[in-house]
Amino acid sequence: MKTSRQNAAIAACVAAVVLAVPFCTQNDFLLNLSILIMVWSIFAVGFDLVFGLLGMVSFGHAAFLGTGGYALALATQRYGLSFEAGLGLAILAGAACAWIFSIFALRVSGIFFALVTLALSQLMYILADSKLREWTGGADGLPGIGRPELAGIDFFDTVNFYWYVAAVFALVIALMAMLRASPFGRAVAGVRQNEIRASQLGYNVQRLKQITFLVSGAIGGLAGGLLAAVLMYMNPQMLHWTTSGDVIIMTLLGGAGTLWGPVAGVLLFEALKEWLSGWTPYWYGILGLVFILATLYFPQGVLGALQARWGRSRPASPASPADGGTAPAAPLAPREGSLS
Amino acid sequence: MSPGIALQCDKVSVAFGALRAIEDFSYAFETGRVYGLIGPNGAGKTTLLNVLAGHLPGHGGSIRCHGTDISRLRAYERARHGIGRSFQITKIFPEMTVLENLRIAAQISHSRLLPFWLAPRYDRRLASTIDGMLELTDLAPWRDTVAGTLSYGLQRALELGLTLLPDPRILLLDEPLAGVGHHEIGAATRLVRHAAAGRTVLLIEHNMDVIMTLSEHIVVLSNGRKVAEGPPDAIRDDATVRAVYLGEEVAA
Amino acid sequence: MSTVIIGLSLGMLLFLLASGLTLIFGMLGVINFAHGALYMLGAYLAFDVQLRTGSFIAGLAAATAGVGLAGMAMERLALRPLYSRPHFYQLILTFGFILVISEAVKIVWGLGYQETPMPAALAGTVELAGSTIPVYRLFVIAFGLLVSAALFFVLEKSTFGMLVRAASSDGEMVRILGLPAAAIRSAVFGVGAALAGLAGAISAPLFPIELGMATNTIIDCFIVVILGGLGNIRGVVAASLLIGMVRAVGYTFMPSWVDILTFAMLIATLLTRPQGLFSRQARLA
Repeated sequence: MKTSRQNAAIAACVAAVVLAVPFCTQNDFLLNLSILIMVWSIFAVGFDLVFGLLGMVSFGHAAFLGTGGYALALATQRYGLSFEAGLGLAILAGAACAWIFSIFALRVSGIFFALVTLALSQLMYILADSKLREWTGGADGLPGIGRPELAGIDFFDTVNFYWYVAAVFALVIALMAMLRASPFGRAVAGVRQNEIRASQLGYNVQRLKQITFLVSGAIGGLAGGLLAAVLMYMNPQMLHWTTSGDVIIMTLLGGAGTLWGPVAGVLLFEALKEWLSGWTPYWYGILGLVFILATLYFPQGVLGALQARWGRSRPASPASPADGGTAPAAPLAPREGSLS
Repeated sequence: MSPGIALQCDKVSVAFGALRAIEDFSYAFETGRVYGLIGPNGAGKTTLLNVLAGHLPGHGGSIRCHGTDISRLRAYERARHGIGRSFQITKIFPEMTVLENLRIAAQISHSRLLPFWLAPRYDRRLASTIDGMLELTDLAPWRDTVAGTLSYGLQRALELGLTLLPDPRILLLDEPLAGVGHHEIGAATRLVRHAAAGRTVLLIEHNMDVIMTLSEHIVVLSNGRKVAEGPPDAIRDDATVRAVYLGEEVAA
Repeated sequence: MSTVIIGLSLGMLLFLLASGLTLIFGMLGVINFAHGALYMLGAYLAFDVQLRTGSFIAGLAAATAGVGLAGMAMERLALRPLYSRPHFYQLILTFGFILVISEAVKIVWGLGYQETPMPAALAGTVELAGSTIPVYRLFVIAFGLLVSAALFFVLEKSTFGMLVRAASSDGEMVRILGLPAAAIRSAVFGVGAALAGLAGAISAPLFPIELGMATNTIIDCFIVVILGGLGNIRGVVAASLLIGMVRAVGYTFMPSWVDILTFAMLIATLLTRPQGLFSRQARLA
């Protein structure tokens, strides 16, 4: 079965579940959990553009999430803009943040790329926590964040907000599907697999990477704005590098490089968390163990493995990075085999 | 009408630290001719192709492509000027199928990256171009096979297919027959000959029979410098060339 | 003067911690994200043993040995299978270990923070150049110098050190020569981890020990290792002292800018001289 058919089949299942949930349960906690899963899924699919499609390990995506969240909070609270305007600003803020990051981070590759993204986002965390306290509320954060204001519907009602988030989620997934199947998406996948060949064919690889980052950041910003609305609260923790680590865990567990993999990963993560925390407070450590085991023996993630089984003869190796994680060579030194 | 110069090199030099890989290389490659680049290992043949293709920015001297100065242009920009290049070590997209590989090469030639909602209609336009290349490279039976699982010879054919799809007017071929099995050499040579038709070609090959047959003109490099040039027959008998190859196997 | 001493002692602590990280990188090409977690583990182990036995030295030994063994286990079980894969798997795997180690610490010692008593012999202060200096800080400086001297000696003069340096530049050749490359790698990871544990134990009397150490100290560690040059131990010495002094001076005169300054240094270095301020290219010692 072709990947696109698989994705459509999965989409149908997911749609069924998403539509069914509010009718199966009135439990506020479960509804909120479902909303959180959808918001994190948005973040994860956006993240996977850089991680899975482009093949670069970014430890800085928390910055886009947090920027979006603060943008929404400030826009609605400080400047009295509507929620929708705030969300729009969150998207723009995430994109702008990603653009700035890419200017720095794309100058290096591999481990250094991971560390630059880590450093930049952690710097933002520190700024949010201290120097920009007047804007961000520092460690105390910004409480009392509002909800959408569409057509007079009360979105503080969990069910109503659920539908709102579900609609956004559906839009983002549709966008991702189109993007990945488009000439642009294919080109980015090509860059991951063989950057030199891609540039030899005429692709401006640097520009492709920047745009991927930009889109990824925009979606991260959107997720951040929604997250702030879900929690009705915003604080610097969203910017901490461990948040970036969390999304890496989720994406890998679910299947990096696939459309639905990140969603599956979020679901798995949250489901495991709920289940495990039922009988032990040490669920985070166990998740860490699961993640380690997955990295060792199951790197293509749940969906990666499943899709390999169902469909095309995909080789087992998953998102191997475009750059392979090497330290930068001295300029102009002939690198063994790379240009031969 | 004079044939015109496809690639004009003026005092091109490349140095890696203290190592002078190419020194003061000046040559005018005429449009439409097939040039064979030969020379012992380390002579700078691959480095010359790298420089021409734009992978070694900061080189000395200038390079003009059909009259335009491309010295400052980067690899992808030179590709858009019509320079195509195949690599000695196969560079394909290993996780994609043959079809997907070719599609990536094909889509760049038609336009820049379109807004994605136009993709389906656009893909149909590409289909015939891709099918043509599948025929030419004899890869049609492996259309939906993942490229990384192909045999080495088939991967080389795909390598050439990728290089040709953007329809470059200048071809830089780095050992296209390298490692190709004995029974496949005939087919591979035919493919190269077909590819060379109507294009300016710079060919590096260690298989002397092949390069002598395919080339109209030979350029001999040694230690980063051009030491001889001429038609294949003249080069075969040239004393300088033999001296340069002394101790080297002449036939691959 | 006290600022200088604080700076030097901070620098030495950073050196102990970062030397392990850079050793592991130089040898295995792995950036051990869990290094801060190992440091934390060392602090907790030292605290625990010192509490039970009343001996500071026992605490040091337990921390060093315990974390060293934990590191070797980590390498043997989780990292070894990944060497044939692209580097980024190791990167994210060590991140997973932060969670596991943190949770293990939480299980044994709980959530709150702990205070380790200063060993009696090293408590107290001295007068130096007009300032009152805690003796412990001087001890830290001296100890750090001792360890760095020992490290250099082992790496440059001993057979083991030679094997380590050989294996780091050409592991394949070492294997062909019949030397146990895999065992050397485990040993090096163990030593790197042990240094982290030692750093944790030494710093325990100075700062409250809590779970945040795992993720907070690693950042400083990265800064030092990048500035010094990945795999370059001499560079790490210089960079540690630099950052230590920057922090000490910063805390005294402009506390809210310190973190920003150190981060700016990291980012600037990553972009302009990724091989480090103090090296021409990444190499071991």
